[in-house]
Amino acid sequence: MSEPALALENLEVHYAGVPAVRGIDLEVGEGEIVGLVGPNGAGKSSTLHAVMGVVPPAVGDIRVRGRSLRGFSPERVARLGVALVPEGRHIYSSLTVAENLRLGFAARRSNDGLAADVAWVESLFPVVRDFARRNAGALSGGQQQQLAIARALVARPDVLLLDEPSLGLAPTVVETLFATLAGIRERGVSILLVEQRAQMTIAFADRTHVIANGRLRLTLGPGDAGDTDKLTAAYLS
Amino acid sequence: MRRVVSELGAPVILVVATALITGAFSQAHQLEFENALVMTAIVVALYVFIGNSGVISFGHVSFVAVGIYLGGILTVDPQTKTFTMPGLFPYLRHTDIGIVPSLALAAAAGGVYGLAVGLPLMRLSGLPAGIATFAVLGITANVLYYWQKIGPTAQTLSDIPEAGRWTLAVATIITIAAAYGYQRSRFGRMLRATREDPAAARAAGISVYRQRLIAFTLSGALAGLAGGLYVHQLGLIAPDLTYLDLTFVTLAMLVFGGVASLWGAVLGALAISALNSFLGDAENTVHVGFRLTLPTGTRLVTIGAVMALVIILRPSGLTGGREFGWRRR
Amino acid sequence: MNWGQAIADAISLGALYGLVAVGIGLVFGVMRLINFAYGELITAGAYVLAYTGGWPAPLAILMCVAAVVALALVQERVAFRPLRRMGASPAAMLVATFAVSFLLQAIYLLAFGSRGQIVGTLGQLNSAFTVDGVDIRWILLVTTVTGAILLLATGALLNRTTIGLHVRAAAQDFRTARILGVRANRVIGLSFVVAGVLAAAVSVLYTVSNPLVQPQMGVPITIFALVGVVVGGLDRLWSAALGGFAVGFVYGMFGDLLSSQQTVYLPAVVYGSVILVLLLRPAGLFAPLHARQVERV
Repeated sequence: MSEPALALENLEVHYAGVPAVRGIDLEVGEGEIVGLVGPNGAGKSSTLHAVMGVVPPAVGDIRVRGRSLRGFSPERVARLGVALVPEGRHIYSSLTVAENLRLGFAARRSNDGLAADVAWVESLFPVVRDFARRNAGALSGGQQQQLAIARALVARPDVLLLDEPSLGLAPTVVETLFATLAGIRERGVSILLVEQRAQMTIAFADRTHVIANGRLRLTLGPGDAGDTDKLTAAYLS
Repeated sequence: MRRVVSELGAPVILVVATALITGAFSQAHQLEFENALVMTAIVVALYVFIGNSGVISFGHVSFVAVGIYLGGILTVDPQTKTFTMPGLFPYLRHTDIGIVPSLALAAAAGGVYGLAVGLPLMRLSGLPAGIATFAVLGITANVLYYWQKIGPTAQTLSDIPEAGRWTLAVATIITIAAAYGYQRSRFGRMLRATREDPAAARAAGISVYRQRLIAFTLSGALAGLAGGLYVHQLGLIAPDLTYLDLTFVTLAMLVFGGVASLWGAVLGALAISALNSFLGDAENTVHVGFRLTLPTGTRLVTIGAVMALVIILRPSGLTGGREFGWRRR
Repeated sequence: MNWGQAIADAISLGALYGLVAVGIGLVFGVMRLINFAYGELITAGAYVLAYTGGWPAPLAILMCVAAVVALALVQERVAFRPLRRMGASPAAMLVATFAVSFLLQAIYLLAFGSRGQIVGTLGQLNSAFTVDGVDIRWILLVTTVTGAILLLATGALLNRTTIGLHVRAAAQDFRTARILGVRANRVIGLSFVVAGVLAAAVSVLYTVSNPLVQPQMGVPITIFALVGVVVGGLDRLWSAALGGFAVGFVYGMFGDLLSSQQTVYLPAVVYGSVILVLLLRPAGLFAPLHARQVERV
């Protein structure tokens, strides 16, 4: 059994001494899609920030294929093959769509296959080709989300972290988005999907953890998608 | 009550001790001790605004300057003034008052200037506040250098009556007490709340603008008073006395001691003054078990290096922003 | 003094301050740091020129550039990087650059004395040529052309290269850039290198007309350029450059056309306008009207 693509071990994250994540264990296997759902302020984004090295973990460890990320800067984590699609997209609105995409190259470990990766991403998200010369700020919310994912993908990551990609998108757009994520997984990318839309995520992901008050409360599989009672109980815990 | 005794008592004792030691030294050293008292007053004035608000000000030396010019010129005998500064405003030229009244006027003028500057500027914070207050300093320095109606401009005005060390010490203690009283008052506590978390303070109904303005005005008045002390300690007004160097040195003192506490302000002022004075001596050979002679200019380099190192390695200063107390949190 | 000469003076002074403004603005964009010690880089370059007076000019200039760039990197590495790591506030960083500025001035005073050194490099550019009855010194032309070339080159570096793209991204949103794999130290290093090259260019050009080098010579240059940067708006390099140019131009014009009696309060007027701009148009005069109001100078 090889090491999981991403493993969080007893992870604790503090902001100004206040704990936001209080010891969670979580694994994302090779090519898996793992969901992480929970109410606002449950510690979802903090978990992702800790993985990316934006905030240092107070306790515990984060491993990528068995390699500890402790003390790594965000750029170093990115160059190890972890890509984050941040909440709110964080598109560079004054740069063009093509320039935003080029920024994604920064974390690539090698430029071999760059053209093929770009072509693949353009086939997933035609908008990045069609509006290449336009200012990214002029795109619609859904288009910006696509650009943000495309930008993460051209880095050729092993692990893709998505922070509430469905935020502000119409339900049909979200469905398309999830279908695309399934296609991305086909390429061997492991995905940790943080979401507020719990039911959709539970139905879609291989496994979904429910986080509340900084702790994992419950793990659900696609079969539990209709079970609102369990979920509500976990949210309120 | 015990808290007040230690928090207010410690800085006051330090100042009294400085004044007491002064008597035991030669003439040249007496001047340096007296200067340390004045620097303490200036740094405490800076602290009232910067320390409590958390907003940087590069402009406070302007208020010190007002105190220096008003406090100095009003105590010079009118005949001398007519001779040396014929362009002076008639009121400044004809008035001749004692040192203590001149200090009161210096404080009042500093406060008025502080209020006038603060009214528009207290809307700013962070970097814009730093630059705007710097611009105020630039304007003040520029006008003082050229406007003959208000001072000696590019000339040096000497023969200003000098105050004794106890006058300086008492005024410095008054400054410290005012700063302490303010920080323990309702206003001081509200301003400190805005420093910790402006959004939360606003949500609690505190007007950040008004609280900053109050502190800025008070600190302007104290800076004016300190300027009055300064001119009566030096006995002269020289061009560019109140520009970048004084701004830098006093800020260095505050940062060195710790911006966020009164104890830090006093300790920083006295410690850097002592270092300054020792290095000044060492440039002319000093005995520290052996004969030590440092090249001219070492003093400034050392002070600059100490300041830079403290900011980089320990931004909260010597005291870490805490008041004096036996129990450490 | 006639209009032709005044305009020539003003344009070249504007170009010079434009360069300084871009040097300051570039570092600000990436680090949110106003480097008050920028002028001391210019002073350092001037001292190098003063001490390499006997060398062939190209070699002396090369030495000047190398030394200034090295000093810029030392400033970043020794003083500003630790502060950035700690997450110091912009105001604390400003005080730190103030301290670095003071320290460097003190070191210059200790090392080179207060009386000043004379730079002779490129002194022949003080000779004049005549156009339409107006005597114009060569240095004015050289300054203007060099300034324009360096600004265009900086623009090309930022707009046409990958590292330039990274710098622009970092200036807009540093954290996201790092998440994307942009190396913070490299981007900051580059902006300090470019700022250093610009400072060295200013050393060379400035000392032709003002050959006396003193420990504090960089201070007024920094202050006026800073004024220009603030007036122009810090967020965009071209507006910072324009602001720097405007301040230099106005200074040059008034300095030539008004009598010295009338110009003594010019600094106060300039500072006053800075305060006005900060209060009324915090994003700068040349910024677009809808510019963001957050994190602004």
